[in-house]
Amino acid sequence: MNLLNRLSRWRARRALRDPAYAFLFARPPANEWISIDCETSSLDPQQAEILSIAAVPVRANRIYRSEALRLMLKPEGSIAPGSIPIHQLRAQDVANGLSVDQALPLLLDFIGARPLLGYYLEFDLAVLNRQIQPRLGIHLPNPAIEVSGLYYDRKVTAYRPEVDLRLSSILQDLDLPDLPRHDPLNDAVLAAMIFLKLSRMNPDQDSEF
Amino acid sequence: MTTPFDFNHAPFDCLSPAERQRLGECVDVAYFPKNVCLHEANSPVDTLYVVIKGLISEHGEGEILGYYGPQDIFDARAMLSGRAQHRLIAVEDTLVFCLPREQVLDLTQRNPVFGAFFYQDVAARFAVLANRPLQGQLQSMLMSRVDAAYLSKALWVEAQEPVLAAAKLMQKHHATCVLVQGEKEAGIFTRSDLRDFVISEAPAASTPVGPLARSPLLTIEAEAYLYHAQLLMATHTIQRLVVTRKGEIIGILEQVELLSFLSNQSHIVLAQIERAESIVELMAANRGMEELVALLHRNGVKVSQIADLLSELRRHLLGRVFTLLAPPEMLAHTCLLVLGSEGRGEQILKTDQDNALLIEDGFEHPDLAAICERFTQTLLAFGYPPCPGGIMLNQPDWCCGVSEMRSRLLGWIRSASAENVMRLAIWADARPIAGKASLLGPVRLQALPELDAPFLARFALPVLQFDVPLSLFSRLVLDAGSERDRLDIKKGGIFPLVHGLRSLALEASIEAANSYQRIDALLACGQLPTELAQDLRETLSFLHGLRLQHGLNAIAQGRAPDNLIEPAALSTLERDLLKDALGVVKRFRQLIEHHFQLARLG
Repeated sequence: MNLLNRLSRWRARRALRDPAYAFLFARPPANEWISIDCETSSLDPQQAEILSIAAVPVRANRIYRSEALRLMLKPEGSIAPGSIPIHQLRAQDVANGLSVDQALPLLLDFIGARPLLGYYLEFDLAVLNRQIQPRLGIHLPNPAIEVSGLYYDRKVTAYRPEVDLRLSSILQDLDLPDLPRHDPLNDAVLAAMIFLKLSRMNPDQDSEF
Repeated sequence: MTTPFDFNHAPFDCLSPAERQRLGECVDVAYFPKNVCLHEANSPVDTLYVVIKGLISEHGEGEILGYYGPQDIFDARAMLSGRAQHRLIAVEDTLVFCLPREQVLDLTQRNPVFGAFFYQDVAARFAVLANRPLQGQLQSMLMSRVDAAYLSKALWVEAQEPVLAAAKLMQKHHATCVLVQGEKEAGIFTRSDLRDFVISEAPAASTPVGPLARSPLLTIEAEAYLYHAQLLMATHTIQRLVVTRKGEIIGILEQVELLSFLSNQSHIVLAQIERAESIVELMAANRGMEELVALLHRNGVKVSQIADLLSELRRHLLGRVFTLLAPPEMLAHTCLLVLGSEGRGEQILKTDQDNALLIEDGFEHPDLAAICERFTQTLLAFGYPPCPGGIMLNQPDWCCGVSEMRSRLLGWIRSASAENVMRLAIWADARPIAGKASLLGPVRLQALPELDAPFLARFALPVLQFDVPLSLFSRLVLDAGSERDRLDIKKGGIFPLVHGLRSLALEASIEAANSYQRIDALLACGQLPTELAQDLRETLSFLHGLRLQHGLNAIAQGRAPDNLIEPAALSTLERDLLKDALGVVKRFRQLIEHHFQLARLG
């Protein structure tokens, strides 16, 4: 961790309003990650409300799907009609969901200080942080690993500056199976698979690199 | 919840929606990069894997036993036992679903169809254990009828008979249970019931067995599939079933026998031998052995393994023949020996009888000669041809007292003619198989005096008797004349190795008779260089394999097996291996020649 990161963590640590969440800054257990995915009511991170969250633990080479945390949230506003066909969550589907105030502590307890994984994680983090900031005074301090970024770093060359970062292309290229998408649990599992394959792959073994 | 796990493949397609839901909840995913080991043999296993993408190989005994590709389930056997049998390695980058063992075991209990799949798969894994590729064979074994497996005799006692009588009956017949004839219905009294009875401390001689027997009997028809028997035992967690034919009890099917049948028919043969109470019963076991050889070889089992197994079985068989023929008092004072290749345990197909009987000095029995004659005749009936050199029990030369044998051996050592050397060579491989084994000790070749250097040289000389059929330029030299285009691999390859090793072992006072064990022992005492020892092992194994292959082909074509192979009929690879092997034989011959200074005997 470089100095700048350390400095910003230190600042964030000081900004934390609720000492009960100091564990977010603790030393994370080695070789553990949380793959996370949210389904939201719109694609605008400033407007989007969280409809469901899945967080899947990854330890060493195993994706502990069975231990996943799945939360259904009840949005305060309405769900953008255009997003419903994507995540297939209608107002009545989330009517019994938790409030953000109920859901966030469960999520934070679950992820702890572990690094987060995701595909286009930035969007999910923006939506989450919009809710966390007013409550705790901080953004999530956890290291974030963008799997499409890992993939880009592997693929990009001077001759081939354009890398196809669509999820289905990545999965196909890495010879990973596709799962029914836009179920946050499946999406989180897919991101975790990409992570495991890229982080454990020996570049020498693959002639493509 | 949607689940990524595909339930459309067997056996998961037979799960109910609720069961799918429950199993789906606990599915994990694991990723194994290429060349990573999933688990080592004997490590604990708490997971059943289903391949999503990639390939896994299963390793045991230095060989690859099988592969698992997409949708394949592994390792069902390890999951049931909780411990890995074999090493598993990712051949490619592999993604797998992980199903927790507890959950799957629970489902096998609740859903019989699902459970059946796993028991079937266990049998498949057993087959792999026997290094047998999964072909139609397994299917046909699973679809075999109950009466194809070895059935133990049903032993009966009356309900009013004491427990002691039941126990004695079980002991006498090496049985694990007896059936109890009650007034209304029959029951079963097993070894574990006996154990419980002993713990109860009730008097065995006066407690009737009737009330202790359990009923009703769980039965299966002889016509049913073995697979159903397996299921029935699994469902009731019992170890045996009573087998009926049209309602009449004909025998007992033990779980051990059932599994053995599915895994390796050798156990059946062994059980048949051990429990045989007449020569006729042994006949059946003898036939089973021939089938076993062909089966094992066809399925790529290593020749040295077949030889080990077969010589073990055959020793049991011959020993049993003798113990059935000879009265106990004769067994206490005589020792049945197998000699030559049978003694070395390197004989796979039946060859000439090479056997002898040692009699304790001073022991006499009026029936002795007659029993020896019957032994030889029985072996003839079993298909062992007579020994051309007359090394058989019914020949007075090879059925004699210890002192007499000793003076005879000493005579042969002194004269050491070619004929006597071959007799001594055969004797050097003697192994006791029945009776009083200690009789052999004083007349072991190693125990005799006068094994000096000049004798050892004459003993080793036959190594040079036949030329190695390999020319200076590593071409195979074929016999001229009527045997054109053929090569005698016994004379040209196996014999020089076996006899050279025998000579070195005799010199070093090594007692082992088996050539591979002799190599190991010679290596251990520094008489063989490591590299040569390794080459000798492989060469011997290759030549034995070639000879077995050749013999089996001959038998399949209805000819008597011989040792003349046609190099032209071999594959290029085999021919090259044969050249390499003969090269090793040549090297070893030179070592022997040098070691015993055979040039001086020229």
